[in-house]
Amino acid sequence: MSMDLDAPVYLQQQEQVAATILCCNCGAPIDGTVAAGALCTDCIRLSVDVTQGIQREATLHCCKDCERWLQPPTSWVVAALESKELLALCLRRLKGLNKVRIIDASFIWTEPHSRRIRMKITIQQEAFVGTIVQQQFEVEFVVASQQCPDCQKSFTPNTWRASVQVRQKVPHKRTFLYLEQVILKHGAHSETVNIKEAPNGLDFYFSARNSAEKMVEFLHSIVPCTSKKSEELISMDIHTSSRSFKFSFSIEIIPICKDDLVAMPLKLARSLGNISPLTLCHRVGNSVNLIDPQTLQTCEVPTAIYWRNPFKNLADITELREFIVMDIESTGKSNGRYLLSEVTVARASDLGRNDVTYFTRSHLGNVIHVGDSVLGYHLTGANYNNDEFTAIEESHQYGSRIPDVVLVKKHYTRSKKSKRNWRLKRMAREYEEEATAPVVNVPTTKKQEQEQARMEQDYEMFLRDVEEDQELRQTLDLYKVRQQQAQDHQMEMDEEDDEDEEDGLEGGHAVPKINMDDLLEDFDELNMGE
Amino acid sequence: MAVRAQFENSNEVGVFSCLTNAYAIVAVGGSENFYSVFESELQDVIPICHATIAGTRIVGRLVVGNRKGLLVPTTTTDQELQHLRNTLPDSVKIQRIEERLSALGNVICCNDHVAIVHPDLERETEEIIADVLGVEVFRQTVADNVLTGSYMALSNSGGIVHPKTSIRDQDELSSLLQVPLVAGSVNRGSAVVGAGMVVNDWLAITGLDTTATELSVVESVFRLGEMAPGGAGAAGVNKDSIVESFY
Amino acid sequence: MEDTTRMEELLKRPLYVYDLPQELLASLTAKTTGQPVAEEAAGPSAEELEQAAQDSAIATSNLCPLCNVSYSTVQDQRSHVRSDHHRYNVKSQLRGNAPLGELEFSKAVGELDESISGSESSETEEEDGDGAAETTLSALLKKQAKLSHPDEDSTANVAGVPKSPLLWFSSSGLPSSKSLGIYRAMFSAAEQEDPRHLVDTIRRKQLAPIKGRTNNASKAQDPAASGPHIFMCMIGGGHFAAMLVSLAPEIHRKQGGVEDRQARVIAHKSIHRYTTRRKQGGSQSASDASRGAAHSAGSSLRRYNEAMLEKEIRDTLTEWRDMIDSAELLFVRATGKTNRKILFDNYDGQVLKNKDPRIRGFPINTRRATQGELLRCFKELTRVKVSEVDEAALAAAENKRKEEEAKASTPAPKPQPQKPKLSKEEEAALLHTSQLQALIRRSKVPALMSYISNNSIPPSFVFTPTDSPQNFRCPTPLHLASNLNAPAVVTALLTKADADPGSLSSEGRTPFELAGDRATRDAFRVARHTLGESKWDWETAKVPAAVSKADADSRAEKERQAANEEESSRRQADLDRLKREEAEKSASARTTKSGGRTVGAVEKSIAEKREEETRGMTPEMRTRLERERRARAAEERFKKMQGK
Repeated sequence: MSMDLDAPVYLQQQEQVAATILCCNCGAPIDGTVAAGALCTDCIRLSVDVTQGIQREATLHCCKDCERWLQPPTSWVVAALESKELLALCLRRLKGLNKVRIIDASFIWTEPHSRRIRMKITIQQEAFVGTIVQQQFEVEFVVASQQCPDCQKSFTPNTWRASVQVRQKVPHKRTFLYLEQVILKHGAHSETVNIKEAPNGLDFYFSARNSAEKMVEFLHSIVPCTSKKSEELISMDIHTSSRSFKFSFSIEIIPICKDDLVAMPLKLARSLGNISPLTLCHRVGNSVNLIDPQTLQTCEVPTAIYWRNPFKNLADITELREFIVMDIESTGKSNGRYLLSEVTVARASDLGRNDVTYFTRSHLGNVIHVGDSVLGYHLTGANYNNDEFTAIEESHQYGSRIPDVVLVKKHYTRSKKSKRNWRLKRMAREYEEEATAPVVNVPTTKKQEQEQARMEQDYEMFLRDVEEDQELRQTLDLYKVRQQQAQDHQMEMDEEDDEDEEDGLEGGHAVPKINMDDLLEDFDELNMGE
Repeated sequence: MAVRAQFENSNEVGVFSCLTNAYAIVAVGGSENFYSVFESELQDVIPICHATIAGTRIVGRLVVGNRKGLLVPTTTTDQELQHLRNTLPDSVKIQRIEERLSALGNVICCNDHVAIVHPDLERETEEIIADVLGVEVFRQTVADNVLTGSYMALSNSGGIVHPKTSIRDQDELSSLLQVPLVAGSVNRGSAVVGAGMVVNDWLAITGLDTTATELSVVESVFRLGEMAPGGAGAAGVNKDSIVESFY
Repeated sequence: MEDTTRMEELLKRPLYVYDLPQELLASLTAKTTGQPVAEEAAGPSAEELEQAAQDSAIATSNLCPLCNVSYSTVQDQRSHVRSDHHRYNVKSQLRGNAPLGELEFSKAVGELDESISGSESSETEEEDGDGAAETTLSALLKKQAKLSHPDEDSTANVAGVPKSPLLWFSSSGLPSSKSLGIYRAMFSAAEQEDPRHLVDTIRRKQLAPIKGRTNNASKAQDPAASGPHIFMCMIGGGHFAAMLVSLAPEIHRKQGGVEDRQARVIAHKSIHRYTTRRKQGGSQSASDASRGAAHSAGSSLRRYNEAMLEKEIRDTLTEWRDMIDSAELLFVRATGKTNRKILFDNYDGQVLKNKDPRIRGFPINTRRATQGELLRCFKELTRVKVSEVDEAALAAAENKRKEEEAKASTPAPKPQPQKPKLSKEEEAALLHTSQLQALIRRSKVPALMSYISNNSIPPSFVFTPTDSPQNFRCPTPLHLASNLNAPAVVTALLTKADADPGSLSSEGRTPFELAGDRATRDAFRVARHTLGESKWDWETAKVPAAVSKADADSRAEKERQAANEEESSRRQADLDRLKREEAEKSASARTTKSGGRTVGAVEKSIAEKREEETRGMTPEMRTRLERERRARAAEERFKKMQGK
């Protein structure tokens, strides 16, 4: 017989008015008008799975280096473990979850090194018309590591698109030290992919041409320079005519620095207000400012004009000699902070050996006093291999007016161990050659040793410049020395002070110091210290 | 007796067949399993007609009938009508109805005495129902649903209505029809009892998914244990088979 | 008899509801033929009783939860379930409306038709009983479906139930076939409640006409303004017209002492603004609502105009507030949401209220909202309709139908699918009409006679449908024959078919008056002679004194001879003149023309020559030529005259 052999259950009149039907599964009397699918609640709970179609396992991608999480398709978000953001990310990863109503979701704690994230989710869904079933289930995520594109880029060399090569053909690095500080102050290096030190200059690398051009504009605004652009075709799609280029901007800074002695071509000197062609560079902005120390006449050589007819400096600060002021007499002519004075100086090295003194006029009348030691170029007896200088010597007008000595600045004697209460920030940079790498403090070869010594000297010179030149200082950010170190050499300072006082007594004038109020707190470093 | 069957993997046997006290109509299917269920239960008792209506197999939803007559929708072709006339007993009046609501099985639910019909049925149709089927016609709803034929299975001895029917509505309908009614489901909780099963006075065929509970409800409300073809009661064919299964 | 004719005379004039002639008013009775037909309750079958006895498990329910109706037995329950009330409630429940209680339902439907499923009242007698019930029910349901607040409409929209727009009255002074119709809308809801008191209501409502003002007297003392008046307004498609019109007619004395009654308009206003979208139709606001605001110049113009129209209308209504508040009835035609909103929306100083029981729509077709249209509507509404229905024929048809009904085993006969409202009788009448008219048109006298005798068409047969324009003019075969100038048919109809020459067309004309020629008129007079004076009231039929056929014939003969003679003499004269002219012309041609012309050539007539000249010319050139020619002729004439 084909009939099912289930024993028939005969209906009994239900006492409860509410119960109108029997549950089709278990036969329990229920109220049919509210029951769903003729099932009692227990049977619904047993037979209905609303979590069907929802993933129970999924994979999350995390970048090991920056610890960011991949939010498909392409974005990477920062989220801490067990954070709200990660929860949202996880819930978004689960397919099928959008069809149900999420009531609750929370993390179940797992050890981070297990590379697993477990979640408990409570959902509701309408199982039948008018019946909502709530269920709870767990989901496990496997954390897979994937390097994010940013990290990928940072770990891959040669990913630049554009480079800016800055060069200045001078034997010292002072300009670049200055440039470094200005760039730091304006944050102009933020878009660089890489910064490399090259002989005679720096290379900046960028991932986009735009940022390189921005950098070029920036440099044009702070230093006297000329730029040249070149491009290299990397690849081209002949079908779409789309190409990719690498761009290089070559920037050459005028090789004239502050305090350099400059012999201008006569023609140029004539065109610049008929200034005497033998001048001193007293300031470099985005053009070169020259002063004739004999007359206090100044002129400005615009970059464009300079590059029309470039000329080299006659002597740079390495050729400065120390002189002692024997006599000084003001002429009363002044120009700004300069006061024209007639000075009689003697070479410091000659002092006590002979009585040769030199008479000259100087613009430093405000600064120097009798007995001060000053630095200057000693033209008498110097033999310059310079066409312009030769032209000056030969000219009727200027040949006879070449001074013996051109005084440049006052000289302060500094003790070797003098410590500054301020410091500058440095840019992280790569060194082109291993020879110049200062990473290893112990120089290995003689060449490296020399190189490092020169660098340190340059830096020291730059720091002195900063100390001495208030105008320069204003364009830079100076920071206080870190607390501990400051305390360390507080005592030394005390000693030094004494020495300084002695020096002061001897030299008449103290080494210029920077007021603590002008210095900035270095917050980054404070944080790092903690 | 209540039997479970399936029409080509579908449990909605009421869609593919129509069962009355005088005849049965079964859709033409790919396999004859469904037909053979009817055959085994009804052979030599009432004629079983293999038919399509308007070329479709959903004969149970398109036609409605009882012992006295059969109504087919206007979409029925002449050949189909002729075939039905040839197969069914002469005492059964067959009529084609012009009615907008052409799924007559969905909108009409009847036994040999009364019919509950869709409230929007045309008046002529109502009259034809009364004439051909020899029933009293009432326009009513079952559980606020107009498709009376879909949500109600009715025989002369009882009826099952939509599980959401309230007690009050059940009482009203029961009093109107003068048969006992219960609310119930077939095919594991399906509310379309009219389309999920077919029933006459001694046999009910439900979908294969019908649970034991549902089947027992069906058997009890339609009094299938007591009746047998020809009103022979429990002493008829059923008794033999029960005895058979005991030994 | 005389009284009847007098009354009929009265009917020829348009009757004004509020100023009915005294004699008519006295004899007026309302026609209420609502004898309820008891519904055949299906008796309990033996089977059911048996079943009921045997089955104890069957639940008994003695309350219909839907309709809140209780019953004691199954039979009661079954008859309740079959009742319109229950069916209505089942349907309205499915549509999500609240079911109506028994009282509310009977109020909604039953006040007119005591039982919508069976009886025939005079209003619905053309309709099949069951069909009427079905339509009433479905109409009621449709009405329900449209309204958002079902409880509100159960009271307010009883008037909206499609009943006959006219209430019919009869008068003892009139033949039974004549009945007078007055628009239902002219009565208030309360007055409609009880049809028995309708006549009293009408009597109460009569107003004395007021004398026309000779000069524009000040309005304040105007009796019309304070008297009963109604407010009418129409709005649609940017047109608005409103009118306050006094119910008391105004009598103007025309020259010659003829009294002329006129509607007395107290105040009127019509506004038109451009608001409907040209070529697309629909108002701008509707378009905005459905499609989002357009930004064309036209749309902003229309939007502005809509706003201005609304403002102006509301201003007008506010201005008339007192008059509107005191108006007896408010006729409003405002279809569409926007139009209704203008009038009935809640705004400050709202004048018209949606639920106002005085408000009613126009029960007639209306055209564009203009002053003239309002006036036409007013006249139409206040005029008493006169309808002529052969009660006897209708009654016979009714009986026949009832017999058929009784014969049929099923409770109700099927209504005709095509024209459900036509009874057999009417169909027959239509058939006869078309046949008779065809025969009369073709003057087939013998065929006509045999048709009439074969189909035993009564002499009083009236063409149907009575409202078609042709039948309006010629309601009877005799009218038609007379109108078509068919003396033979007229004679036959009068003498053989016993047609009544005194019957009047809807225009109040007798057949004789329609006759177009003497022969036909003579046919009437001959018939008067042959039938004798006493047969018909020839005077009322306006047929002049009788002549015998011989007289008529001889006179006709004489006339014909005279005409012939005249004709022949005229022809003779013409011929002579032509001959003479011909001779003159040839003479002149000979004198003027040189002999260049070949003798044998046929002389062309002037006309022929002209034709030849103008051949191939454009019409303009032809006219110019013609003008020149005329000018030349005129000159010639002048010359001749001066020459004389």
